[in-house]
Formats: sequence, C-alpha cells, structure tokens
Amino acid sequence: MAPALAAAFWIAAYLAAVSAPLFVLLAGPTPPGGGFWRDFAMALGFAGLAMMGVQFFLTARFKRATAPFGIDLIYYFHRYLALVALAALAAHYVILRLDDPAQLGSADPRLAPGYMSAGRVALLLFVLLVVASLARRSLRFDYDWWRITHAFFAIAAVVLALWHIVGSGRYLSAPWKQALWLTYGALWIALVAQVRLLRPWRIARRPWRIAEVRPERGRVWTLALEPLGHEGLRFQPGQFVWLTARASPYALREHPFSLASSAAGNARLEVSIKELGDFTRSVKDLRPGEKVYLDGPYGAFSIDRHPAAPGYVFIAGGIGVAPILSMLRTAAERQDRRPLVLFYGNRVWERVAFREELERLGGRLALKTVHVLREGPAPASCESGFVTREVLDRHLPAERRPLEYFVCGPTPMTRAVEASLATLGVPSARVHSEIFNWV
Amino acid sequence: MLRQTKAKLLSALTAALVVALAALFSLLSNPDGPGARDQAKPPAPADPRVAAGRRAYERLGCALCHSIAGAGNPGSPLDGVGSRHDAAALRAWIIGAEPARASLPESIARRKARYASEPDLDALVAYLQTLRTP
Repeated sequence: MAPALAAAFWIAAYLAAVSAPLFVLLAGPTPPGGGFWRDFAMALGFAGLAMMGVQFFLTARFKRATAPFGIDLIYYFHRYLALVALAALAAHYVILRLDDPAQLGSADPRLAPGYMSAGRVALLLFVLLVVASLARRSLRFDYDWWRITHAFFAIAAVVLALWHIVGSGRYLSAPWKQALWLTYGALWIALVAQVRLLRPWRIARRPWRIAEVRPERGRVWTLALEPLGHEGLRFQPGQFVWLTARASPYALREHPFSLASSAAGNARLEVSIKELGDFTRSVKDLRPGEKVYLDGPYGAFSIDRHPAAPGYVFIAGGIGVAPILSMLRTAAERQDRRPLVLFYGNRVWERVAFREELERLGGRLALKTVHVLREGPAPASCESGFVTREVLDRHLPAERRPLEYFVCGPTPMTRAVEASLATLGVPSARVHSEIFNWV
Repeated sequence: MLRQTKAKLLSALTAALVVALAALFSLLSNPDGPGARDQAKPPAPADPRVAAGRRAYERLGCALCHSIAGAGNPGSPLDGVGSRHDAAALRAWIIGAEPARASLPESIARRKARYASEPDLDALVAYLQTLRTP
C-alpha cells in the first residue's frame, strides 16, 4: 500500500475506534433522555475512555501502523491525544457536577457504590498520569521509573474506568453494547500482554554483543554491536532502534537511538550516543562482550523512502547527525553519485562529532559539508551562528525545489529550518524531520 | 509542516469529532436541546418532617440512581411514587426488605440494607409519600 493511502487507512481506523462507542450510543434503543447536559457528559465519558484505550495501541509499536507516519509523530500524537482524552473525562465529571451535584451521589467511599469510587479514582489517576508525563523533565523523574509507573497507573486507571461504566450500567443495557466494551477491554489486555510479554520475549531471543565502545568528539560514544546467534537486522538508513543494556528486555528499560552505521554493510551495527541524560552518561561504562538487546528498526526518516530524488540535503544539529551519518555511509557504499549537501550545526569546532569521517566521505560522495559553529575559532570555510535562511540560501544549489530535505536536531532548530526552507521555495512535502527528544 | 504540528492537528480533529458526536447523541435523546429541563428547585416543604426527609434524600445521594422532577439519574424516576406505594412498601423499597427485595439485584439490595439504621428513615418515607401523580 502506498504510504499516503496507508496513512489515510490508519487515521480512519483510529477515528472509528474512538467514535465507535458514540455511534453505539446513537444506534437505538437509546435510554429516555436524561437531559441534554447529562447525556452529553455521559457521551464524553465514553469517548474519553475509548481515546485512553487507543493510547495503548499507539505505544505498542506496531510496525505496520506506525510506518506511514514515523514513530516520533505517533508518540507526539500519544501525548496530545492524552490531553484531549483527559479533557473529555474531566468534562464528563465537571458537567455532571454543574448540572446537578446530587446525581453524583456521595463522594465518601464508605457511602458511594464501588463503581462510583472507581470512576473518581480513575479520573484522579488519569490526571496524575498526564501531569507526571508532561512534567517529567522539569520534575526530574527518573526515566525508567516513570516508564514503569506510567504503564502500571495507565492499566489501573483503565480497569477502574471500565468497572465504572459497567457498574453505571444504564447506557449499556443492550448485551451487544456491553459486548463492545468487553471487546475493548479484552483488546487492551491483549495489547498489554503483547507489549509487556510477547515482544520482550522475541527481543530476548535475539541478543547482541558489544564489539567495541569507541569515543568520538563532543562526548559522543559509539557502540558497535554484533548479532549473537542470528542474522542481525535489516534497516533503512536513518531508522532507529530501542536499546536495552544491563537489563532484561522484560524490565522495559529501553532507550531509542538512531542507527549510525551503513544499511548496506554487514550485520555489524553502530549506534552513536551523546552524553545527555542518566542512561546516555552510563554508555561509556559498557564493556566489549556485554550482551544488549535491540527492538527495531523503526522510523520513516530515510532517503530510502524517496529513492527517486535527484539529490538530498541534510540539516543536522549536534547528535542529530547520527541518522544522517547512516544515510551518508550507506550512499557511499552504494556508490551513489547524486549531489548531497550537509549543513551541520555545532557549538565549537573541537566538539564536532565525526568531522574527520565527514571529510573522508566527501571524497567518496558528491558531498558538500557546511559546518555552522556558534562559538570559538574555526576554519575559514565554516559558517558562524545558526543554520539560518541566509546560510541555507548561500550553499543550496540553484535547482533546490526537487531535492529531498532531511532535518534532525533540537526542536527549535528544526522549526527554524523548516520555516526558512519554506521561504526559499522548498515544498513542505519535500522536507522530512525527525523529532529529536520525543520521550 | 513540523511533525509536532501534524500530531496536534490530528488531536484537535479528534476532539472536534468527539464533541460533535457527543452533542449529536445528546440532542437525539433530548430533542428540546440544552436548558429544556426545569432546573428550578421546588420550594422547601412546610411540614418539617417532609423537609427532613428531603434533606435525607439529598444527603444519602439517592439521586445517583433516582430522579425527581427531572433532577438526578433518569434511570429510576420517583415521580408519583407516593401514589403507587403505601408507607410500608416505600420503607421496604428503601431498605431492600421483602417484598421489594425480590425485584432488586443482589448488589443493590445489599447497598440498600444499610439504610435500615438510618435515623431519618421515617422522614424519608414521609417525603416520598408527598410525590404524587398530579
């Protein structure tokens, strides 16, 4: 299926899953009207829970469903949809309360029926889940702990919410309406089993061995990995994997990293990791011979998605160069002679990771590398400051419209570059970006 | 377009779709639209025992499952209940005693049983007796 068609199919499937409970309510026999606001609040409650259920699917990393979009976009969508779903659930409660507080009964859990307390606790858990996730960085929650508690509270909240709607009963009088929600519940449990048990089991059966831990410029470490007892993995240059080191795949202590090695090479893979957080700072302590696990490949950020382009432009900020390096290395092995331009933004010249290799690649490819440095002394050929519209304009070829553009770096840089390219007449469909820090 | 913006747009589309469908469902069930229900609370009863009964009705959260004059859960309306049952039957329904118990699901009968020790039970019965068919 063509990517655009596949994308349309999955968006339609997703909208159907979210709105199905509402259509089920619409399809008679509807209970006698309970007042506009009461029924509106009930419908929002059902839809909010259906959306929360879709959340499990979004993060289950189904390759077929995520491929047309790129998984970074799916995770962003997960985040925004959580806000929409939470708003619907909060509105469900607030509208009922404003309409007539008496219809909520007593809030005292000793007096209230179990299903009502379940609903209240579920709403509270959903609020906690969203707040903890959005504020994770500013509150400095440990990433691994956050992932485990996120999953646990999400399951608890959905189970409590299901209890709440089955207990409230009135809108689910018909057996087939109950069947819909039981099916949803069963699907969610199956998804959890797939993510927590089945996939870790498959990952555990295909371990990798660390062959080398190599320092690069700019506090970047490259891990070279070799498959242990299997044929390795095939990927498109620019894709990424989830890496588990010093933990069991069942512990779900994985971290996403771009593959930096050539996709046309042998089974040996490389990931290049910059010291940025708790896990990435510990990468240098890994030793050759240690076992690690990989899940992947994922991502839509690849020249192989646009094989017919007359040439490519890459714009990297810092370690955002990793997936681009993979594309350049692959192009070199394929003896690709198409024109390539790389804009590479960094702070100082001494910390430009892979700068020697990029120079060597320039000899094998029709590659022009433009270094853009913010501080300090640099060779005369470098640009200083940021990758601005003027910098792009100075170095892009005159025939810039048909080229495919790949942007990977911090979000402010990506945003600025996309805006600049638009003013330079580059069609937005030709600009591909990967969000850098989406977890 | 920045990929983040695409994700935002699809979320906004979902929100719009869900709110529209929810409003449609609600309108189909309530053709008169919002605000059709009479929200005005009936005046406080003159009889202090009936007034105490109405307070008990509110305090115990009866509106979670019942409605009076459109307020509360429309699943089990109590309008006119005073014309259908005498005091003894009303009391049996409130505390889930026989003969009402036979028509109640087990879980609800259990919940109702706790009202047997309610000091305002007689007042509550008196209040329900005032709910007569016009």
